[in-house]
Amino acid sequence: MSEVEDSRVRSLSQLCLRVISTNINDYQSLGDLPYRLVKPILEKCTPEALLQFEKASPHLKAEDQEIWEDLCYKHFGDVRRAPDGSELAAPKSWRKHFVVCREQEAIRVEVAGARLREKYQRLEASKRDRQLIFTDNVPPMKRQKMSGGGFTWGATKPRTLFDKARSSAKKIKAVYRGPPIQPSPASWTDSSSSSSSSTSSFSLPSSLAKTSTPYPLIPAPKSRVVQRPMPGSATAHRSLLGQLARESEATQKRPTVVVKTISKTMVVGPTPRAPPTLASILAARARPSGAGVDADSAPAPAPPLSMAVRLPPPARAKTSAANALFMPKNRAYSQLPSRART
Amino acid sequence: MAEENTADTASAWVRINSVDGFSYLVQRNVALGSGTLKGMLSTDSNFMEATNNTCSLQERGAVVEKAVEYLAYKAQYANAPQSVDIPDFTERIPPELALELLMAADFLEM
Repeated sequence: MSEVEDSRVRSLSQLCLRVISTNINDYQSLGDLPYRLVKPILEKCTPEALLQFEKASPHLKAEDQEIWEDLCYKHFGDVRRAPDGSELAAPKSWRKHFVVCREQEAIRVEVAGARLREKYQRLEASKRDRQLIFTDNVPPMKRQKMSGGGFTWGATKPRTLFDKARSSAKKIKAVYRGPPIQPSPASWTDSSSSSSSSTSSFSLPSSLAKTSTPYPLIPAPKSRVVQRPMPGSATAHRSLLGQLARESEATQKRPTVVVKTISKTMVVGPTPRAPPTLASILAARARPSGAGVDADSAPAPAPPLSMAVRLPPPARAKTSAANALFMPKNRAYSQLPSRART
Repeated sequence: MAEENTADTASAWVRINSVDGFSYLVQRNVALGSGTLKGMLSTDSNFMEATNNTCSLQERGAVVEKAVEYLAYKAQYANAPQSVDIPDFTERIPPELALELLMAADFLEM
């Protein structure tokens, strides 16, 4: 009989190796099979399986160094290279080397994992802090800090420019509370020729009038209002007042406008009936603009002038009608026709 | 009596024994698919196996049986034309038998 050629039929050894490799996970031992027979299987199995086969068949240990070497290179890269770049000597036992490398790898992974976990937890905590939680319980009250004295606890109430103007006007008012100056009747008539000491009382409106206004309520010639001879005594006051007026006018045009209106109308030479009418007109026109003015402010020069726009309640003092236009406590600043013009 | 006739080559039968007492009769030409068996049964040598046309293998009966099965498979499909699809013998190898069969296959050089 002729020798049969294995043309298309594989050898039984090959077939068996294939079967074992396919089911390698089901094997716990390779028995007494010699290394040379199972080498193809060992090359393909995992390090763990290799370790187990070695344990079951100790005779394999003697000959499988090459397999461990291959595993080291496959899993850990260039294991022969030291950190400084030189080449390390081959370890006596590649298997031991592999185990050591694997333990180092596990430690590195654990450390990195812990770091990542901690970062993630911190991120989650910060997110949780910002989260909105719907609850019916009232959160615990924060303990009030002890205030040191009469000072304010937090920032002082923001002072608007109007507040500042009012407070500074109060201070200035104290300057003017000196010996009352007799208002001159001539000052209420044609302004161009007036030259009385009482111009100090009108210096305010004149100085205010000097400042520009966007909306003149009554088209009186400006020159009339502006040309007021100022006595020397009133000059200092006027500068202060002018400053104040400019200051307040810069922020609030309403008081300025109202004052100017008053001065203009006064200068034009109104009839005795005019003031009340004027007051009503001014009140009607300036009430919306003057609404921001605090009616209870102290009688400072500028703000009270604006407050003159508002009609005081009739049930006030007997001079309420007279005070309709200008309600200063000091007689010096009174613009009442009954008082000033007489 | 159905005794193997060493004079007949092709149709002569050889006996293959296992350790656990099983005996398998295969045709001589089929048995010669294994290199080892061929050497054992060769009339050139003075092996007892050749004289008796009997081979005793140190394997279990199940393993020997599967080995003989492979021999028959091999004898049938070794020279098959391209048109014939050869079945996969791995399907016929149970994994629990594969290790011993590998051992036997290594021994039998097949």
